[in-house]
Amino acid sequence: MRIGLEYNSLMNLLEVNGLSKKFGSVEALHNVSFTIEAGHIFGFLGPNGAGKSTTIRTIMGFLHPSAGNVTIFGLDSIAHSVELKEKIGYVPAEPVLYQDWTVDEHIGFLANVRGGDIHAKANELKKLLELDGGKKVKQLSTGNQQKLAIVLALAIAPELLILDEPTRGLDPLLRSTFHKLLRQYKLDGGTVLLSSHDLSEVEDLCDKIVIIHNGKLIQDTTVTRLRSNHGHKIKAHFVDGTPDLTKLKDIDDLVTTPHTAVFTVRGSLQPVLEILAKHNVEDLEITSASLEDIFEEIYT
Amino acid sequence: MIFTTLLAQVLRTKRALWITYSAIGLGFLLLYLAVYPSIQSQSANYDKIYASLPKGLMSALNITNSTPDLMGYLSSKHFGFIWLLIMALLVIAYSAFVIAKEIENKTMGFLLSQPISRLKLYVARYIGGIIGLGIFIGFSEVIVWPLAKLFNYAIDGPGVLWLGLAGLLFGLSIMSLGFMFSAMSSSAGRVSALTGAVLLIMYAAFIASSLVSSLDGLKYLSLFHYITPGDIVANSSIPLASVLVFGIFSLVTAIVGAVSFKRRQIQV
Repeated sequence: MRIGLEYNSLMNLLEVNGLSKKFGSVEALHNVSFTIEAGHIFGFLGPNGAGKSTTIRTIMGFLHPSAGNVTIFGLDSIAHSVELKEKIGYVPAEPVLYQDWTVDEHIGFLANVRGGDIHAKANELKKLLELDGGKKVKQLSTGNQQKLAIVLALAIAPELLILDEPTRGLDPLLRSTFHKLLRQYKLDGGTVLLSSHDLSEVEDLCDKIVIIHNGKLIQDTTVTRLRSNHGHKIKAHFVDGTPDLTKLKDIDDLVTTPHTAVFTVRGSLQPVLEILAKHNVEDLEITSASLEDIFEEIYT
Repeated sequence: MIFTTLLAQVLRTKRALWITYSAIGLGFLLLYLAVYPSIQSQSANYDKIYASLPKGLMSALNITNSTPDLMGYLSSKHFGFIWLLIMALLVIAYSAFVIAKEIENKTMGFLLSQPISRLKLYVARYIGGIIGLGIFIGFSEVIVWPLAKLFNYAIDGPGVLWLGLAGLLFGLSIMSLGFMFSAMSSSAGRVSALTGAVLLIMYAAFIASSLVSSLDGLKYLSLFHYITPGDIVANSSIPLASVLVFGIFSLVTAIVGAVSFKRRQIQV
């Protein structure tokens, strides 16, 4: 296989290098760079209009970069667009399929274009997602059209899945089923680029995340590191009264009462815990910042 | 395999368009066939009326001043204008639907996310258009031959085929123009309007050149000048100039469209 010869496992599976995209005078993306390693689920976050879909459309080769480039499996995404798509499953933000075709006709078309037998996998997915193969797209609800897009993307057994808000329109039960599918796909060696607004989904599934805002990359990190950078909230109850904590380094938002102190620790917890250990602490509660909190902090 | 799949897909999804326009073309043909006996019986009166009309107008409307046989009559009354108009509307609709409309309603995103080259997609749709145009011509023009036999009318068979071929070349030219605009646009409405406007300008130039002698040179800029059904049927041949003009025009516009579609950015 041509792709297999050029790509080796030491390379990043996907590299976005200094990507900029202008629409006339409007700069939708500015010097965005990130990489995705094989075998990971990679979260792509940002508010509406941040540039997520523009980045994904550029990765898919629908749009051409104004500057920078994208390589997938070591190949340029524009120059090798057709051969790369043999390895990519894609679910767009708004899947638009042929209204007069049935679910099975879409699968049949894909099987003819891809040249492999995808029917067994597609049938398994249809059963799992409770999708009726005989129904025309125009008879399907938005959620069921989303399911069909997921079936089409996964049935081809891709090496890379690019998902632009794939669970929009799915009920919580199906969302959970889809998450299980993604975890299994990852265990089988697959790689995922997941754009999502659902922070709990990203928190549950993703190893690494990129946050984009106004077309610029503002974070490229892991969920754990992001949470740790944004601190831990500590609530301590002291039997002998609250000591003076104002001289502690790296703490914010300190609120005290005669027996309780609540504060946020930036950086390592170790020095704070050492101080607390010197006092008679009756109860101690340490919580990480949620992604919702972090998002609020970043975007406000 | 991919090319065959794409070709089958476009023929299947656009079959209603071909069937509808073929039925309209056939309907008009049957209508003209039905009134032909009464027209034939009054041909002397019609010839007197035609003789009083300006020659330029007769030429502009592709009307000959006699009704010698069925194909001569049909060329004057139907194939010279109505048939060409239906064909133009058909190929404009097709070319707008198969690219620009698919970008507009985003189904193009489904196709382009598959390992399908844009050039292959464009060519499959173009060939689908040629096949569809052939079906339309078959049911709206070539069919007159067996129908005439059925109703015991004398008919010039080769003339029917030559006119069908000329119609195919004419239709191909308009379809190629439509494909060129469609490949550059994301709005089917804009493609139809642009192609229609170019044809309207060409037709206006053709009429003006027929009516005003000082504007005679304008006719060479119009595709309508190169299709003369009466002459094609009478001579059982297509002038070489017509073949060259239609051929070169189709080739150039189709290639410009293909290159544009391959290079353009698509917001799907």
